[in-house]
Amino acid sequence: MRKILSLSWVIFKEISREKIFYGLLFLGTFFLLSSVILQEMVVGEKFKVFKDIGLLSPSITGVLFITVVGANIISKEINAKTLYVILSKPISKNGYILSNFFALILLSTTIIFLITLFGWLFLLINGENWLSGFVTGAYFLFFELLLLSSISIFLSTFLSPYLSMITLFIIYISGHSLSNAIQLSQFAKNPPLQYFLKALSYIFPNLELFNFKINLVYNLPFPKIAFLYSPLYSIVYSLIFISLSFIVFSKREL
Amino acid sequence: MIIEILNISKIYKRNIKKFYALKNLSLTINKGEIFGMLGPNGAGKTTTLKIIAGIINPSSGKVLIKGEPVGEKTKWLIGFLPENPSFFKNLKARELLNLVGELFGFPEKKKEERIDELLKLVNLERFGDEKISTFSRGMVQRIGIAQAIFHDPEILILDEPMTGLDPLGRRMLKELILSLRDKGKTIILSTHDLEDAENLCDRVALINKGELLNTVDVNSLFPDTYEIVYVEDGRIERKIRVKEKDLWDSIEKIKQNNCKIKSISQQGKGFLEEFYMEHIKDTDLLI
Repeated sequence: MRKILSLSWVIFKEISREKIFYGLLFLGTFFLLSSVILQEMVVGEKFKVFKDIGLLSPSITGVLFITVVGANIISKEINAKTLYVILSKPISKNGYILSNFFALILLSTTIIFLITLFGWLFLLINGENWLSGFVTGAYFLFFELLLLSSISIFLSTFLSPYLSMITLFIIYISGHSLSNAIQLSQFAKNPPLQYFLKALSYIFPNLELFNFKINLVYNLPFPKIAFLYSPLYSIVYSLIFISLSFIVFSKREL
Repeated sequence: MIIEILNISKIYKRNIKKFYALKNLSLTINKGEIFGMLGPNGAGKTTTLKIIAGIINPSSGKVLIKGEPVGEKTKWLIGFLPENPSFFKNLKARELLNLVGELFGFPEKKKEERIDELLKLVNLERFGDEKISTFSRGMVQRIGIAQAIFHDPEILILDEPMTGLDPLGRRMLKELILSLRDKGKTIILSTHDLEDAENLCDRVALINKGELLNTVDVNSLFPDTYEIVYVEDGRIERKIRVKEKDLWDSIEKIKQNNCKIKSISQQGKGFLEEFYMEHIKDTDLLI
């Protein structure tokens, strides 16, 4: 385990020194600051806009990070042949996959923490302390990014960087829209479409299980079981994707 | 023998077509020798080295290292420098070596000492805290050598190690290879440079299209040549091969440099280049 964590830490350092990492942090902060302009345009309580954007910014930044960096984390190292040096050392291919996965989680957590912290401070300066809302939002976002990290690792073991990014983006969009699409299809009274969407919902993970932004911003109730169910869903899904990554990577010609 | 390569084949699939990178290759490598692998591009040298290093598996056959099949256990015995090595570019040289120390489970103090020792050995002690992305190709090659020998392995695999090195770097590496051999290490060297192979290797294998064409004792290839073994600075053993007409001049030169001649022996028949061309000329080169 020490070897896996050491390699994770090195991958974390390597990626956190990339310009793209700083660029994404800057982008997330820019989103936050954009709420100042947006709240001028929207009728209603100004804090609602701050809160909405405050929860959306780490989410967008985190997902962009996983899509741009995570989706080619393994394939990039295969192409650059960095992994020849690593795999000639006493660390297994599975250990190598886990190291990359842990590094992605660590990097995602850093992004969530920093942007959420900026958001909280920003709102605090403007006169409202909404720590509980930000912490709850960050909690669910962490598990959503955990799941997306495992999918990105899996995709990058066998797809080219661009294909991997596109596939992950499709999974993300589908994961957030399928449950709504199924509900809407019931009104359309089109059974084949309903079956098709239902079948897709079994393939794509349901990312709406991690989306309670509206409930938090408008102080609407949501099932408390979500605090347990959503993480469990994310962990089980992640275990499946990481196990699949082990299998695919063990057969991959390097 | 320290390495036994037993009838290994490696098949890659390109679309539906199968491509043999190695075809029933068998070899043995003895402990303490410098073993050269020669052959044109795409001959299968790198594939063989990657299999020995445990990075890829053969499609059939097996490789034994000290009687043990290649696996996690044998990685402790091997140091590997890939061709055109690439490392995490945002890491500093010291951080890279630190990672290698961690992967080999070195205790903190011993690891730090080893890092200092290696940075000095490869002449990078002033650049330990510099990012690898700022290094020249030769410097990257040198840090590559340092990571390969970090754990003092019994077997060192070097894939085209002279690539990108300036004359000084080449000399340093040659001396390092010879000093490691003197310490009883086994070195496997893949190279296109026949002069390097002549000067360094004890035996060479000629590979083409994934098949072993021949293995030969380098000493037996030299007609009208003599091998002079001498001791430099009272401790470093050196070996040179000279033609008969240059023998006395060379002996004089060695004596002038206050070196002690240990032995002079006459060599056998043929040159490495002739040997190489003899075997490769009839085959299609994959360049």
